[in-house]
Amino acid sequence: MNTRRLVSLIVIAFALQSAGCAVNVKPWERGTLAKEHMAIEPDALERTIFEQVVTSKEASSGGYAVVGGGCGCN
Amino acid sequence: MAATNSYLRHLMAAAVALPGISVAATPIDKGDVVVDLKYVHYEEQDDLMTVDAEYLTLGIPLTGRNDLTVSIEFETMSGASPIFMSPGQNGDPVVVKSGASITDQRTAVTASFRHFFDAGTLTVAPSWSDEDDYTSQALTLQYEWDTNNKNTTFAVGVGFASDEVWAEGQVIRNDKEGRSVFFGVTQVLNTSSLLQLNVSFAEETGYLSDPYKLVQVQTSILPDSRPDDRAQIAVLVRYIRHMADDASVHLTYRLFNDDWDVQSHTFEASWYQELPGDWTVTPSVRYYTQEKADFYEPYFVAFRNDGYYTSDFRLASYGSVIAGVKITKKIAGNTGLDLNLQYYARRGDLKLGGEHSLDPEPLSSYLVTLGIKHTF
Repeated sequence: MNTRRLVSLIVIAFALQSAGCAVNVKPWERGTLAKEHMAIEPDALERTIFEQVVTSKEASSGGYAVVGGGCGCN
Repeated sequence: MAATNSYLRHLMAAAVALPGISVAATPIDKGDVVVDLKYVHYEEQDDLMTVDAEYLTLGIPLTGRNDLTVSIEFETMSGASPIFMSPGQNGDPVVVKSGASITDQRTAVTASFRHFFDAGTLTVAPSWSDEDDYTSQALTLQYEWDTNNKNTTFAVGVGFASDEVWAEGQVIRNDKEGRSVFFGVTQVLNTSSLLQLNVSFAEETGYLSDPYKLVQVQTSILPDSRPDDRAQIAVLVRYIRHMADDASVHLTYRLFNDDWDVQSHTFEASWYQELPGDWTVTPSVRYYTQEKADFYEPYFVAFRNDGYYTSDFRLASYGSVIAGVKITKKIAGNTGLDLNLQYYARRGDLKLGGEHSLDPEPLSSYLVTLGIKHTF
């Protein structure tokens, strides 16, 4: 990957974090976010199986975290 | 015939290649006892590969601050696979495949221990995988914490893997090591949307070639030979938004790059639609496009100075499309049944822009997943 692209990704990451400071969704406003299909991976086992299949056919892997993610919606 | 095993190994053991993303992680909520069972059938056209697999995940709370998830996986695989390509008439490559079908089996186990600190959650997950010609041991550590009233979640993880690979009938066992680092941030944007950014770095060292694959260089047939080091980066962005009428849309983009010159872009979109009677229908589509490794050719007209050669189409320039639909039904609130049907097509000319590799035998396959999950 070229350096310029990497730098822009880091900038996006910081922008995300700054945006985060401005957001303050309260626990009682999380009804929608707590829905099962609003989870990062609504079916983690299925993601694992799917990544196994496509990684076996293609040269790329990574980026998905089965653990991790989550929005504190539990 | 022997080549089949290698293909099999790659087929379902691929997760092993990436330390840190191994079998199933912990898909359970704190405090629940969960049983999650899935049956998978995968089948390729033209009598290539067929795989049947069962996955069992059991989540057990241990104490108030600890839980354990054990995931077990059994797979049976059979079929034929490509070994190398030769120049045919007009120079177009012709695939030489393995002969009769053989069967291989794989067993994999992951144990995920979680500890809930006041400030965050630590996951420690050792895993083991065993096949006739491949073994792997891996360890993943991950820590996850929230800030900003749980509106921002961070995750960091590391993974290590130590694998052994050999060809059926060979005495020599080749070692392969893997290390990976993962960073993720998930941000609540508002009451109905989320954004996630993940970056993972992985490095593999050791024997990264395929012991069953061959290449044709001029008139010689040589073994597949790849560098003994591979550094990879993946950057993934996901956006999840709730829509009217009890629906949500999940959009994902991933950029992948490695020092073999492979670069790829992956786009995924899923629509989760809740329906009356606790049904959910989820159509999804995925598009993938890849630039080849610099030492890939269908066959080689000249010897290379570095001595690296592969004709494994997985390292070629091509694109692929997956389309699927999943149906989920909830029963009595704590049991879920699901059926997922997916169709996969991989072809040279599905690549986005630029030149694609010559593709004498495009691949198409389907994947059926049937699952049941019960929470006690």
